[in-house]
Amino acid sequence: MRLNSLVAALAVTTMLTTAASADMSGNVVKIGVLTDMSGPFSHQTGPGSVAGAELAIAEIQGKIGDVPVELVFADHQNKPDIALNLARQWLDVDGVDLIVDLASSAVALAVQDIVKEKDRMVIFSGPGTDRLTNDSCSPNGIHWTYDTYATGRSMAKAVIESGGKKWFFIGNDSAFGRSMVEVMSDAINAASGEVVGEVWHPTGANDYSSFIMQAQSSGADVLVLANSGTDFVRAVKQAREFGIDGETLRLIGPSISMADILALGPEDAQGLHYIDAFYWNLNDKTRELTDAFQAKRNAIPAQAQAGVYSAVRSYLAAVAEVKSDDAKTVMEKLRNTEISDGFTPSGKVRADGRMVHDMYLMRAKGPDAEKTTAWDSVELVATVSGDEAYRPLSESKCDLVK
Amino acid sequence: MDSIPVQVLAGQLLIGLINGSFYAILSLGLAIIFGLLNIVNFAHGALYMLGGMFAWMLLEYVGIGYWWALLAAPLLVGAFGILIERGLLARLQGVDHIYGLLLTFGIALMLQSLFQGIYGSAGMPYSIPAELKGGWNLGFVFLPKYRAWIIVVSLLTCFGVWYAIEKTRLGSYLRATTENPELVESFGVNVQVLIALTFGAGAGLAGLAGVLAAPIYSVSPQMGVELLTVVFAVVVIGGMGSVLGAILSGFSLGIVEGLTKVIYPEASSVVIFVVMILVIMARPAGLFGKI
Repeated sequence: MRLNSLVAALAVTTMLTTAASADMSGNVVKIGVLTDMSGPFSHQTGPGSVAGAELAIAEIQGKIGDVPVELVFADHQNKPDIALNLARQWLDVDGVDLIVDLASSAVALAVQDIVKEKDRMVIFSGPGTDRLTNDSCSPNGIHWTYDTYATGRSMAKAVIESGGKKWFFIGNDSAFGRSMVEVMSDAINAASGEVVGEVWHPTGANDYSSFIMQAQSSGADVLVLANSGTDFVRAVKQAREFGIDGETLRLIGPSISMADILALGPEDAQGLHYIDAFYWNLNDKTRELTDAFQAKRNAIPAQAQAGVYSAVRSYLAAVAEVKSDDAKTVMEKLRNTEISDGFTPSGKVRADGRMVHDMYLMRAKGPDAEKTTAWDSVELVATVSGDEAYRPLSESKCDLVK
Repeated sequence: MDSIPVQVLAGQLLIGLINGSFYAILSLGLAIIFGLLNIVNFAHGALYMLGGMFAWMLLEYVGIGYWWALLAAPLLVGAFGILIERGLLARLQGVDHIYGLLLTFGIALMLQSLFQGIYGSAGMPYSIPAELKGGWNLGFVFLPKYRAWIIVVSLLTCFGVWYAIEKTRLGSYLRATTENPELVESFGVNVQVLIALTFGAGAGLAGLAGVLAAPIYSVSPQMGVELLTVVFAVVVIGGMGSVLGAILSGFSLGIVEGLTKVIYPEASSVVIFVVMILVIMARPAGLFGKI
């Protein structure tokens, strides 16, 4: 009898302790920001993405119950092989539960597979390729911030509606650029527009004047720069130099960030339209996030950086709720949670892993526009609802929705 | 592209010439430093970046515009070059090339990281000066005034440097120093000062290219990284240390690259290296080099 009660007591205590630290692998929730810390995408992801994750972790004082939340980050230099090695190290040895950001599309596609194989979680914020929730979707991956389908198609629609007919593409020769041009070409052809030419440049190219000249002599009335980061900035500066003022040949860069607009300066950026997933001046919550971010980085959060904040915040909330960092359980929870925070007022994770939320058609202000702060260099033109922006599940090639 | 109209071709030739101007100025600086000092200067890209950064900083903090920056920034970069030479490289005289290479490579990494740490990697806005805005429609191509300006500055600079080295008394000292520094010293020439000034001049040329590039490429800590490898290929093709070779191969490779962008754009980033391999196979010392 005495022995029995002892055993019972022991059993109860064991149950209690396991319940407290629940199913937390390694008794820690470990998040790894894998990103481009110094390359062409580092100003729109990179250290700012790390800061975004830090803000989300700080909101819960760095722990869930008594389980600490740990943050690690690494630079993949936009090379899939380096990224894979880092991811493998994190998943196999360091016990990382969630990998976030990824910054480049080629890297994201590589990491998607290995995370699925190891049954952990990955949330993409920086990469654009829509393949992550289409033919390369995964039960372990969420695409949080934007994708080429949403930005490219929304942009194409907006421009077609205002009369754009003949299109020329200058695209980054990468998974991102290719997927952007494909999505936009589809939308253009569907609206009986015409693609009159496309040229591809490597990431980090210096000179775009040859390409710009080809675009000018092609008879196009819309020039799409399917690139981002410093590539985009250089291309726009040179397009302006060659007399592309947006009158006869319209210049658009569907998938850029506000950091690019700031790097261009108001004169060169004036009138550029683009699609953003985050607008800092949307409401009190976005302004609050922007203030907190500014205190850390002295910059405005780019969409991918705000996206990392939102992703990590939602992930931690889901982990706290289900008391487990098991990938399947947390994914299930996230799919059934309404996302509302400083990044987006209302978002939802779909079965294919797409986080669907409103997108914003933005316009860069010119040098003479009124500005309340230095950040106040873009204005909201229109809001595109999430369901309208993202690829409908009925058109999806993802085998999770079939 | 199936057929290439003559206008497009002519336009691309012109654009190639403009890009070649950058290659020429940069490879010229490298060639001088290698030819006269025997240093493989891997910090050249960083010095080019420094030129662009100084121009931006002069505008941002002091309010000095493009025209004065065109003079001041190369001088500042040159002075910085002299500091590097006197403070660090001078200690490596007489040892194997590889030490100079490693040292300058390290300096480049430190400079780039330093600026990235302070200013981030996004790049800073720098506008074309008002006098050089706009351009001329030549019929076959729209030639921006600023690009024309680059060609003019580049040709003048290249000619000036070539003339100074090949035709002046100072140049003859310099050439003599590469042959036999001890002998030159015995004639009462201060060889150390000569070496420091030469490195400073090479650095200044990189700085000049940086200022010229600032309005059209974005000013950013990494701006020299991609360019450096290309410029090294240009120097190798021209013949290591050959001033004339650097100038001529700089311009002509710009044109070759420009044409590749029309015919097969995907190859434009490798075409220079293909040329380099072919040249090395046929003439290991480069087109104008001597073994």
